[in-house]
Amino acid sequence: MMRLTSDEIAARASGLNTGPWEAPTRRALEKLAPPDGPDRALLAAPSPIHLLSHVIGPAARARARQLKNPLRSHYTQGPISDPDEIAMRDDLDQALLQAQLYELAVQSSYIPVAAIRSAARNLLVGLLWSDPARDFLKTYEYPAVLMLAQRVEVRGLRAVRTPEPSDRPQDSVRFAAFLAHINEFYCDARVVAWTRFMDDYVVEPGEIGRFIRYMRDPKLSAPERANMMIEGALLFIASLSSAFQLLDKDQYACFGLPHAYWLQKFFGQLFTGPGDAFNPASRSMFNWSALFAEYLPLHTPHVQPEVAAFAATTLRNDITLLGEVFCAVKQVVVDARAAP
Amino acid sequence: MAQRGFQDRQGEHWTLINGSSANRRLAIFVHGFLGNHLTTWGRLPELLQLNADADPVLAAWDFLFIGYSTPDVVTYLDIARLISTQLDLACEGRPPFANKYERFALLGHSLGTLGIRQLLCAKALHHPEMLANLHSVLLFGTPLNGSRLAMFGGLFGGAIAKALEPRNPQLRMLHAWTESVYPSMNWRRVKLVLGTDDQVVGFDHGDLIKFAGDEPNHILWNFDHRSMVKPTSWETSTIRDLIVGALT
Repeated sequence: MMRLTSDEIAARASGLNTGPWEAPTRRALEKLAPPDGPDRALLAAPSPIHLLSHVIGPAARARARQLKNPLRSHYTQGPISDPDEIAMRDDLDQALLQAQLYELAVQSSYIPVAAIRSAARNLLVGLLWSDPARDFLKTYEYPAVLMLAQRVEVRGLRAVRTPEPSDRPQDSVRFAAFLAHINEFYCDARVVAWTRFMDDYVVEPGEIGRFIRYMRDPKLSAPERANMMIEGALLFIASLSSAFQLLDKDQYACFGLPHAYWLQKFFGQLFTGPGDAFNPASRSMFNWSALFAEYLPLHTPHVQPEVAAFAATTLRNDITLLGEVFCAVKQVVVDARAAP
Repeated sequence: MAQRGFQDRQGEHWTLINGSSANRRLAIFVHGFLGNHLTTWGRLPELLQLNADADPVLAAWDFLFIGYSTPDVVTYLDIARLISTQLDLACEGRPPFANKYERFALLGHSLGTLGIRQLLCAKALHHPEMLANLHSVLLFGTPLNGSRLAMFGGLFGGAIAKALEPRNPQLRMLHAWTESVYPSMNWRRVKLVLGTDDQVVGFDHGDLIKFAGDEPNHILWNFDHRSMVKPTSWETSTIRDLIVGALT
């Protein structure tokens, strides 16, 4: 790893901590942390720290019980519709994004592990000391969080292989580009509106069905947010592909992991290997990638035909790239599940 | 192989790839519509990091990639001000720069090229030494007559998208402004790189629409709008050759 000045390390750490995930992470820690907060002495110690060491006393057990319902699996234990539960889960997801970025930053040699060790331990213990939070992690699959835990010696999660920090200098620049992309991705209200739409947040009954029908036949009446959703989806695709284009194929999985959830939503399938039991939640998922690849050209009537053809080809190429990353992420998740 | 370090300021949307010695030359890269300060340029930043010090021309240059959030930009002037701010700091050698820079090159893509054009003619934004120290200007895929994709189904709203529509008022004003001030300001000739496969801004306008101060003949390659600023390798890269040419 190239030697970095202390100022540069501080600036990079700040860049990792102050993206759009900052406020959700703070809220997640407020809602999910043990009643007395993580044990500061244990966090600062150079020795490993065990998550279960924080489940001490009736107050902690009561807090853990309170978290059980809001953090349940929506695949197997019922849909989530309560706004407070939704907010808590969104915040936890963003806090886990922060953890994934720490891991990827260290893997890429963008920042030394020592620079984020304390913050990462605080984050992991604060979020994952309770059984419901660890079940959430398991249900929604965050392999990079497991790697980070191992790297900063937080025990109590499944052991995984943790890659050595890269010795290729270009990987740190690549990570910087990826971080710029992630910032742009989560700051753009249109992309966020689209991802929430894929996650079934609608403003009128039957909005998703109407949108799909309108995409297939522009002569039908459009739902009010149709253009906003098309725009958001195109930006979603463009932003992801611009980031993934930088990568070598063997990096697709690790850089795709922070987007694993949205890739599953976009391609309409959960990560399941050949030997896995069928997850009934997959049945209700929709393949948005196929819809856009096939029907977007119907929605470009004001554009010259050759320009529209170019836009359609570009879009399909981008979606193909996203598909390759999706497959790589899926493979790593399925392999991680199968590991002893 | 010698490799450079880099300063990364995510919150401020810039990355500086600097040499180990105190270079006095700074090339500033400005991205286009959407994208960000790094991904727009594909692997160019990492290729410069890896290879610049081995190149007799590039070794003397530092490379600053600056960016902006497209939805936050309303006019070309907003982009021009961002460039101007960095140029002021670089001319004075104030942080984040470790030393004064004495030569500058401006390189832009798509909408970023209009921000550069705007800066050139907006004298109020100039550091007193800016034009004298301007080494070269290289514009990739500049929207000479706006973008044919700006009308993409009425999508991608926002003020700056309007400023990319063909024959839009802001672009016409920039053209007239440039026409008016170039004879007295006489900045370095601007080199244009256009792509035969560029369906976003086209290339045929290069023959029809001239901005004052542009080189009479533009460079035409078999690029599309995105690939023209995304080198896939170093040794055989036309983009590298163009950049080296601009910085020689």
